[in-house]
Amino acid sequence: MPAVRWVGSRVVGAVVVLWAVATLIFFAIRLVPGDPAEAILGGPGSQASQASLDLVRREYGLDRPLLVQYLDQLGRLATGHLGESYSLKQPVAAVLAAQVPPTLTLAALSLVAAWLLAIGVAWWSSGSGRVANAVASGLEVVASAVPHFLLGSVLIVVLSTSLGLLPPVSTGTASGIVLPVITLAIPVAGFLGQVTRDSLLDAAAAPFALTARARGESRSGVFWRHLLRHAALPGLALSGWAFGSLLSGAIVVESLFARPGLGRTLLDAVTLRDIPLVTGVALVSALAYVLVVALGDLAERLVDPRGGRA
Amino acid sequence: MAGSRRLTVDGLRVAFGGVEVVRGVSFTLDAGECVALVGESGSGKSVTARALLGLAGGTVTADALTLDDTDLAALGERDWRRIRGPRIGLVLQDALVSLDPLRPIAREIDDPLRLHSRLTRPERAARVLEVLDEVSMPSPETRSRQRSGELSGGLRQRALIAAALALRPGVLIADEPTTALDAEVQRQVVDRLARLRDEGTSVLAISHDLGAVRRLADRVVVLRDGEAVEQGPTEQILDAPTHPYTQALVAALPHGKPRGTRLSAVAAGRRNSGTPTPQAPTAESSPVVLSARRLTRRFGDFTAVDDVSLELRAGETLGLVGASGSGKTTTARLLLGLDAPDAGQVALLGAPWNPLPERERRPRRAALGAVYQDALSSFDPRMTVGRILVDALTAGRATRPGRARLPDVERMLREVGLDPAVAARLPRTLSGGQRQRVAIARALAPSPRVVVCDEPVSSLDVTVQAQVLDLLDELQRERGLAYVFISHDLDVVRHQSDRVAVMSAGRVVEQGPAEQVFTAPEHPYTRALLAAAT
Repeated sequence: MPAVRWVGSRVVGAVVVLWAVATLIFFAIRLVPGDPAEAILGGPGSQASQASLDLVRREYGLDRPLLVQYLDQLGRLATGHLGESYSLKQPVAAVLAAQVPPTLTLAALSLVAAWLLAIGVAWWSSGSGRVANAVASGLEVVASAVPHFLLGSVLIVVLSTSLGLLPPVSTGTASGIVLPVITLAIPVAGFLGQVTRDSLLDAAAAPFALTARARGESRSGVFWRHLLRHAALPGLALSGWAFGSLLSGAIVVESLFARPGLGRTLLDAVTLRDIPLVTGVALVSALAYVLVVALGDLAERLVDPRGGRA
Repeated sequence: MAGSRRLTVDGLRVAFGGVEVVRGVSFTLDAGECVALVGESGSGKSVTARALLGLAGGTVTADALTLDDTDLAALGERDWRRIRGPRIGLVLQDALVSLDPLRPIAREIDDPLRLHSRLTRPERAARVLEVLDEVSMPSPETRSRQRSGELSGGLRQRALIAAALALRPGVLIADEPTTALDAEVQRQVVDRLARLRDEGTSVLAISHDLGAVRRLADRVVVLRDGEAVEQGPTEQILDAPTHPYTQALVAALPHGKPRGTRLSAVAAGRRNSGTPTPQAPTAESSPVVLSARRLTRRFGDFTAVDDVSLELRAGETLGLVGASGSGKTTTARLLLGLDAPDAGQVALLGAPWNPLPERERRPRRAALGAVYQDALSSFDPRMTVGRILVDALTAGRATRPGRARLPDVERMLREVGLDPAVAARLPRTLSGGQRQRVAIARALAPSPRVVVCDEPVSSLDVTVQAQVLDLLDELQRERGLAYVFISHDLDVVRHQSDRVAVMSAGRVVEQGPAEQVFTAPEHPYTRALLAAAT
């Protein structure tokens, strides 16, 4: 059964990725100067006494050899115990449960928006001649190069401060998510648009497109029935990457728009050296990434069922 | 058989950006008639065909362009869509890329039905199978669910024809329908088109393959630079052409021309412009330069090359023929040392060659050259011709074409009949014939003793093919080169080879002097192969 093998290999791959992330985080965070015990007691400048520091070290097992701590940590993670956040004094699982949905919503909406933008521009520029193509590819280069913080700031100034169309702060209302989504989507749309246009032009020049038109298919019929599938393939292959870049972009965008979510949580956790929380956020992000890559692969197989690809 | 007038084309002109590529072409097509447009690439034949579908792009004008009673010249895009499919069908060459590789062929054949008929979904599905059956597709139900990549060249071409026939258009345009197909498959496609014509469909065939044209067309229109230089009944045009261009076209056919006779007029730029000299018969005593002993190569369960033994002597050409998939190219790769055999050996100039570690082979690589079918993709697209040649001359050691190398490059280009100015150009700006000449110059740069030519003329026009074949012959005489010459075109192989090996399913089924194999084939497969080509 190829389907079973496919799922199996994905699960094994996910486990390996999660183990690698946990390991990397565990050792990397110890390279950062500072004392975790101090972080537990309120972070640097908490003026904790030596006695309480020792107590905390013993309680959290920080006095044991590094390898023992590492294995102990892996054991806890494997049994689903993410521990308690040093800074928030809450179970990490509870923090994640609260922070994951807003970020996933943001990232998923942005990915959809990016695809719509990329396909829209491709549709507009295909069959509109050389000038439209040059304009579109110029837009895509600019879009993919512009940094989130700049784009977000400009959007806030133009759309909310000057025109008052949308709220500058992402509150609980539905309109609050529009600006963050646009900010995140535009650079990704630029990248997707670039790869989409290349394969779109290739497909449009292929004899099967001419054959389809010779059967009486209209220009848009050829685009939707034939070209789009070919054009979307490289973009789908990049969807995992795009999602990753959305997650990292979320750190900037959530701070900029004062929006709750994983990005801000991660930023705060790293600043406060909150090891369990950093580990939790990294693991959740890695898991989401693995899932999206698998979904992208599945979508690619649906669009291109030829198989034979390694 | 010819009935009423179907299509009238009078004074058709097509221009792109002010440059006319079709300049006043006129012809007619009757019901149940096949007219062939012949000419070389760039002669405007494909643009003419597309103009009949309103898909040429550019600016199309005509004194008259009518299909039955419809004035095609007056149609808008919406009206055109009602013509394309139900009234004019199109079959392009190379069905692999003319069918959408991502969709099952049933959907491709269903498309015209969905667009133009009021049939329900199950009725359309039934019609799809019916059409597949009409083009003799074996087990149509299974095949209809497959994609073009899963079908062989012949089946693919049938599926493409089926898609064009689904609505039974009165006019079928076939653009190079037999190019790049094996002789047997070509014959099937030509037979299929001939049957359609006999059933009353008007067929407009576009081809540079005069052999296929002879079998199929009632009348021929010869195009050159966008003008119809000559037209008339097929026999008359092909047997007694009056226009010099048609005469050159017919003369370029290798069919029936003995080894060593020129096919092309003397190429400009070549030093020796003498009369054709008959090929000196290769002495049996010439040394063996390349030999293969009991080569076998398997890919999984599939045996691509099965116990193949070949021998090539200095100054001779060994032709390798067979259907696609018969193992010709794999054999070539083994001879070139690009792939290791599972059993057997190759010896070059008497010393072991393959299997051998590449490190030990490299110093002797210069003795073995290669020319491929698709010259363009065998060049680094960012290198100029000059740099490509210097690269070959120095086995990649010189990184830039220094001034010192310029005379060498000029000499190499002159030798293959190219203007030295070509050195500064990029391969993609050259014509197909020029590219193949550069490929030959590159193969000859390190002064090889043996050149393996894999389908070297398959993608060229007949007149260009004639020039390239003549060039290969001349170089062979001047340098005593030995060629392994692979081609699916039996006429070309017969014209070009001293000895011939016939391959089928990975085995050499027959081998011997070319004339003997072609006139008195012994193996049944060879006989079938020859029968398909005539």
